[in-house]
Amino acid sequence: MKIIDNTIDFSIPVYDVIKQNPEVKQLLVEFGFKPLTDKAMLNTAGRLVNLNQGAKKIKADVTALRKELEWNGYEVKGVDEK
Amino acid sequence: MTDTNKKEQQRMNILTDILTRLHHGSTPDEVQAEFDQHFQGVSAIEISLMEHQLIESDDNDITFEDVMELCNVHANLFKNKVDGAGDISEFEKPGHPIHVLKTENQAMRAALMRINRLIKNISDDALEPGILRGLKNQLALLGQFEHHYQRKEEVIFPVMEKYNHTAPPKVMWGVDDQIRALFADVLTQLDSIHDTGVTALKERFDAFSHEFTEMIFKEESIMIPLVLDIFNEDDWLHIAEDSERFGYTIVEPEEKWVPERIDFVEEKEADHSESQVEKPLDLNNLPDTQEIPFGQGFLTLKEVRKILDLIPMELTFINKDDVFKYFNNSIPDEDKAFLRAPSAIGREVKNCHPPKSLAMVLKLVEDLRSGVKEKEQMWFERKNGQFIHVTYVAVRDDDGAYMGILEYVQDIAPLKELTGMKRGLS
Repeated sequence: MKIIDNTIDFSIPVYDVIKQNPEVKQLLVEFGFKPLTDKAMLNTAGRLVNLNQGAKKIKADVTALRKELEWNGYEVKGVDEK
Repeated sequence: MTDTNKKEQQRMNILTDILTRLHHGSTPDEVQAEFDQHFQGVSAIEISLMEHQLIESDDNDITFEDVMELCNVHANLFKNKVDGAGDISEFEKPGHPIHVLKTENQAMRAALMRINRLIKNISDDALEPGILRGLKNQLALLGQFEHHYQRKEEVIFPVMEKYNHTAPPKVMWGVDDQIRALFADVLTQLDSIHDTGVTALKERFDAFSHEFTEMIFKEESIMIPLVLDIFNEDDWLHIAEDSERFGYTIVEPEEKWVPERIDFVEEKEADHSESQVEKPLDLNNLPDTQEIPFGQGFLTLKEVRKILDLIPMELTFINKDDVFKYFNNSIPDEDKAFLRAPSAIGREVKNCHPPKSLAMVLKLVEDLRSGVKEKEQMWFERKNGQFIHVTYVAVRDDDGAYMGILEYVQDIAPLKELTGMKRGLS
């Protein structure tokens, strides 16, 4: 059984983030990561890209994403805020 | 009396005493120590059986509510005791109903923690809209516990009842409903938070969270060990199958659970269904009110009888050995196209027909048996104005084996006469 962990790490592949917290996918999709709804994308790009890189790709503000996740009760780490 | 029996009797007396005290107003805390002292190391199943016996028995006033209270006492004892649940590898496979329940419980615990963190971080003078939105999100997510509870209640409880563990499901269901009400309270408080304030929300959430966490614990330390002990693999397969339509909570099973030795299971399943079909004679001893699995659900024998006698058709069934076995009685005798006599039950088909139609009847039976035909239909008018429609259909087992023929006969004259529409009440 998985250990309960509400920490979202922005520096690991998105695929691993969703594996650990499947429910977070919906939030990410609503935030703008539309391709995540596509299983194939999640399995390919999702394994290569982390949330920092992904946010850049969809031209989203990584700080806004951090806030959104915190507002949903997650702890957040590894955020690349320059 | 053997030593074991003596011990059992003693425990039974103590449990009766504890429950009676709860019944007369003692709090769970007051009986905890005594419970721990005597029931350390006693299995959940044993305790639940004793509770069951006490609820059923007439010489005490113990009720479900008392046992519900004891639930917490009971859970507290196990909290310290059940670390090593033992080797349960098959049930730890993804997709197995137990694995699904436990994974959901983890996900629900995680959601509870997120909500707790959010609620801690809000105050009346700084109601951050983003946090309120997140809180709503997370509560909606947690609200999916309804799927988990429904699956437990509609799919797992019936199997427990089948094995005569009727008390634990009833008790648990009662607590489930309390938890549902507590959750509804939380949602109401959140909706009105601008008027009623953060403290009220916190209080409601704490009340809910407490019972909710207790329930997770009860499932894992009492229900799961109990069902793991009594359910067989067929039961689990049925449960896994039936689970899908109720949906899941927060996490979907990663894969479908496929037990090893499928051939064996299929064979067992085939045996199982056959024994159910051939059991009716044994079923004579079943109480009319016993729930029996039928198709997609359950019916009692009485319900089956009533329903069959309400279907507006003449139903007749002959079995695979051509023996006339059953007819229903929904149509008054004077309106029946084919009047059947109870005394004909048990006779072979070839003895029930006049010689002139016998050849045709036997040919039809043969064609349906061999699969040349699955169905035959006939229709004709009667002098009394009826327009009779007759269908003969082969009844086959899940594996295709011939089980007999069902004949259904209906007067369709009233249906043929319908025109236009009627969409309101008579």
